[in-house]
Amino acid sequence: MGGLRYQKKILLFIIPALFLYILFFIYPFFQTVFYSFTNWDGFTGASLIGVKNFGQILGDEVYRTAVGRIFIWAGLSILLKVGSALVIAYVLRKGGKGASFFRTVVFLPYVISSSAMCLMFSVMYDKEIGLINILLRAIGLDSVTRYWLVDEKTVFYAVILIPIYQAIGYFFVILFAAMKDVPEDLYEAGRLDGTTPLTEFTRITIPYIWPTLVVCIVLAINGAFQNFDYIFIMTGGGPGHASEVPATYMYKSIFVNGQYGYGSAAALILFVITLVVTGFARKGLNHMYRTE
Amino acid sequence: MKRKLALAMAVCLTISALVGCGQTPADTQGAQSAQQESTEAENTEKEAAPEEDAQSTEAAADDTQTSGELPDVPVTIRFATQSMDRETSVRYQVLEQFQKDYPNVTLEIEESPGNDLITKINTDVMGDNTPDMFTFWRPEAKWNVDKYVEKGAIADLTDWINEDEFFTDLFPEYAWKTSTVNDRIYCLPKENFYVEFLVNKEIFEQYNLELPTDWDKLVTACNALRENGVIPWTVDTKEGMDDSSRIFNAIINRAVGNSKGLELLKGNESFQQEDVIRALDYFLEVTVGNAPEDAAALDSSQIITKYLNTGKAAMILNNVSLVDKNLTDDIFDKLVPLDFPLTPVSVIDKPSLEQDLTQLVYIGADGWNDADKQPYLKELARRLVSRETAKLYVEEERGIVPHLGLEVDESKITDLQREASAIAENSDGDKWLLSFAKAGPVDEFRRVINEAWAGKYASGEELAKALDDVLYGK
Repeated sequence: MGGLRYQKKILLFIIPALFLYILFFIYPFFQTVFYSFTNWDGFTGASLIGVKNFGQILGDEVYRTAVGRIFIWAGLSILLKVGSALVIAYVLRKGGKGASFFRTVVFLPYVISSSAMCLMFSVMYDKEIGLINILLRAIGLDSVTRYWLVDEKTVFYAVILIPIYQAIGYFFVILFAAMKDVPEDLYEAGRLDGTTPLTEFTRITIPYIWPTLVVCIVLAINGAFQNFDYIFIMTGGGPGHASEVPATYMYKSIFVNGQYGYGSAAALILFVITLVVTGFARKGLNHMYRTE
Repeated sequence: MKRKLALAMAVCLTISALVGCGQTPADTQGAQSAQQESTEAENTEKEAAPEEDAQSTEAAADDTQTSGELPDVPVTIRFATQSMDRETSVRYQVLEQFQKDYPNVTLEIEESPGNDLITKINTDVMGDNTPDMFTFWRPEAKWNVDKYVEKGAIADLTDWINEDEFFTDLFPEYAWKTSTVNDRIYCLPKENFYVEFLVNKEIFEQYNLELPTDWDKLVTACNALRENGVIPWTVDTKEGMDDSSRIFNAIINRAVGNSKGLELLKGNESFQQEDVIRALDYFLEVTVGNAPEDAAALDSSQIITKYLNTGKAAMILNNVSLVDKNLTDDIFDKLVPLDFPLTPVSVIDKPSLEQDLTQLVYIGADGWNDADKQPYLKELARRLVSRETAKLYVEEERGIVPHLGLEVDESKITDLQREASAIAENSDGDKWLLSFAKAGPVDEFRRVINEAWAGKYASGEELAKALDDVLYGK
């Protein structure tokens, strides 16, 4: 470490990547910031209108509700996606009979494309022929059966269940690799001190893999805040605005309604929210198991 | 030495990145397209089209071909359109034939599924990357074409159309009128649409119901069908689709008139007027609870396949080209086209229906201004809108065209098509009510109409207030 200070020529190697980063991220970002203060419709000249777009967006109940939804999504992602991956990784950590088969099974949904998953689930959510309703009817819960993508109360949860379920395999792989690095000595020492499987998990495994777990949590939050494809493919934000999220709101503003400036402002607000939330989450979580 | 090597490598990487970024979209697409085209050509050779089709397309080409006048220079034409079934699409046959006739022209076909073409063209125009030629909807605000004109992204074709004899007596006056913005013609008519009202007579007979030839019979049928477990309307209420507002439009056109309806949708007039509220009451009377339960989750093709083709739903009122292409042969004989009935209080004497152009050919201004490209663009445009191609649209794709003097092989037209066309020809044409509505409020309008189908509004008065909230003055 510290070698860079004396080998400045190495800095030259980052120029191509830096150039691309500036061209495709920094420049468009500042362009978006500029457009967010205009009424540009994408076609004709843009006029500066101050913070009017931001005021309108924050005053729009549809956007506020959409933001609320991504917080729910993030919460459920951490709980179900990271939580399930953590438990499965812990169970399969020690190997044993069939462990590699189950590892494959857990990871398999992650390699399926989002559109294929959506197609599969849209059939599963059908009231008449869908697997979910067939199972519910089989256990006598006929009254619960419904078109899950039509009911305003269930549509959002029905859609987000897909990316949550699908990404368990991804987080499983990360956490499984982290758990493999936990020295066996620690577990042995713990056993001498009388740990149970639960305390072993909470006192040894979790603290040891905590930095990796924090990364997973931050990725889960990011994924929930920025997700667009599943909602867009399954419902387009509908019925009405029942499954609207900031990303679909932004897309409609720009590409459907031709409000480029307004959509840019919506994107910027989402960026700030994501930045603040992930920043706080990282900082807060990093402090929880700080080793001396 | 190491330092020099590192420096040289960094310079190479930077130059590579710059070259990669500096490549024009046309270059990139050209390379991709060339590859794609060669694969497609191979596939096409393997899957030889029926002889008759090939002959028809060549005949269409012969009619318009003026190859002797075209400069023999390499030209690349970007052509954007909706997705095509390459085995059956007349559009693709025309493009393929054009490519064969002019090997010096590289035709880059950019396809987008359904309404995604709107987003594609919008984005292209925004980025000053308008295709050389594209098929699109009418030059109306609803489709942002007014902004394409304002930006100068599409070519003004007026002089060419006035001078070229090819266009003489090709289209009726209304078609040219629709293609005109500020007294200038910006596109060529290609295909028409009208809204057709189809009823499954077998279901009506099964429940001893009279066909809905007047308003009372329609209301009675809706109620009776629902009570018997048959879904009255084949309609989807999916986000972003306009199918659920077809009945709304038909009722508004009858109860308050098409011109007032257009003003309502533009947001220039309030819905909270006595006659409009009455019309909305009519709308609720025949729609609430009368759509499939999963209407919000399916698109028009899926809903027709699932409900109309299986006899689970009894009626449909929708765009003819959308409906007909999704019907199975079994259901064709069971359906009968009718006039959608007049409302009890109506401002018109006989039923009208929405009909207009639906697909037109546009030429990008940059391509048009390129002296090498222009002759080829003209030639390709002529082929796409020629009478011979139109004949193929009708006979092979069940399409509707605006062409004058078209002689169609009657044996290739179904009875249903013939009867529905006769109704359309004998009816006054209404402008689609959303033609001049602004994009943002239209999105909200769709939501309110879908909510009305789901029973959110108990009366026309409530619905009028909700519509005012999203449209009036917006």
